[in-house]
Amino acid sequence: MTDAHTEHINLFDDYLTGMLSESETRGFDARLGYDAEFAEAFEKHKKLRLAIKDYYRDGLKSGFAEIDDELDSPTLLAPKNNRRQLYWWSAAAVLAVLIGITVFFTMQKSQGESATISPQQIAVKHWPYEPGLPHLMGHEDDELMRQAMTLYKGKNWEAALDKLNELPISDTVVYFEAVILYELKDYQNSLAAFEQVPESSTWHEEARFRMALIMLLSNKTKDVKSLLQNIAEGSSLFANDAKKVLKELDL
Amino acid sequence: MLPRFYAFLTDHELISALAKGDVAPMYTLYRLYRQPFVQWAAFNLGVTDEQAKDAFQDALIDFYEQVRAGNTPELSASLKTYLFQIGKHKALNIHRKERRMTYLQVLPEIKGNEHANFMEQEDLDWKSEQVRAAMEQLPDDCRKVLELYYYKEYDMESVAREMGYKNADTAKSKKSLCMKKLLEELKKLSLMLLV
Repeated sequence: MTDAHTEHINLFDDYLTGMLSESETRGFDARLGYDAEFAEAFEKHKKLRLAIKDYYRDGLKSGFAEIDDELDSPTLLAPKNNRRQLYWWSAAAVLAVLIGITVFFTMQKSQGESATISPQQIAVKHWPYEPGLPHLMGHEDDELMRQAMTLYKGKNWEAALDKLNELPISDTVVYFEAVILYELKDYQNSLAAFEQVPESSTWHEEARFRMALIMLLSNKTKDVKSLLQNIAEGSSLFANDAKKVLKELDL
Repeated sequence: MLPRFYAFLTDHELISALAKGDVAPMYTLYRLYRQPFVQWAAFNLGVTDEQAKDAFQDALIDFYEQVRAGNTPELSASLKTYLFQIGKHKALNIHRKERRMTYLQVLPEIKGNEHANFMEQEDLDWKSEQVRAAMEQLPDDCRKVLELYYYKEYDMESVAREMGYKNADTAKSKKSLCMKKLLEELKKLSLMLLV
């Protein structure tokens, strides 16, 4: 049985992920009917795939165990007297850290005054790396997007842009077109594309932050302050980055 | 220490981060809602703390996998409510399964399909344990390839890119080789049910 299984690993996987042609699939289905050894090996392969998935799921579970330990630790369950002592120590520690931070930033500011950095350099420094979308199996409809992402990840910017242009317009398409235009240093069109990413999109907050950075690159510093402040006051993933940029710009 | 800043994000933003393959928000959700879920499940479903924790962990992993695969659910209520719903079903399943375990003493008296189903489940659990042991024997690169292909469901081109292989064919050969190694390890462990 080991031989039949070993021999057909790729065939089984191709069947299960819809990679076989129509005629190959028909042949496979027929063989399941008349070749008992083949059918049994296939059943075992399916179970093995599930067990492999479980293995990785269990890996994720180790992170939960860490949180369980933390939440169930004696410190959190300590009696009130001990807790009070803990609060005093915590307060003292926080105070010490605050003093340290103040001293650090005071020194840093005085150093920063002598070594200035241009808004363009700040924009480039804070531009978030966009790795592209992962490719999932079994999404035949997304073949064009898959091809576009392959080109994108290979930094084949113009070809990736052409491929994206073949797709129906969507927030994801517009977002990646904007990122590519930035990479091509077409800042004006990149900015225009980011502006089209709708508020309902998962990419919206990221698009707004990138817009602010492109404004800096294009010397539109007058408009950038309010946008960055708006992002900084929000609760998006980019609020802290916006605060940092504002601080570095001294706005 | 796990990142905490996700706790300040909205449900929508947390889901967006998960969709991009980031697991940290999943742990933040666990930190936020584990205890409320344990209390809720104990009161409403009569499950133990451990059963509730297991159920909520499974619920979060299911949710993460679903979102990562591009199937973001439309939430009619809060994300917390949605997760509690998944967790509820998981907890009930665990509860039922563990109650069935107590049938062991009277197993010979259990007839028909129920007995067969019980034995099948036992069989599958046992195999998972062995697969886990065999996986630990594989080299790191093999475990990574199998993770990308079987767990994260990347296609071969993406596996090749992620692993720095020449092309999809190389990745496919590597995957096949790693599976053969896994089967050999299983054989060594005398896992006759799988090999």
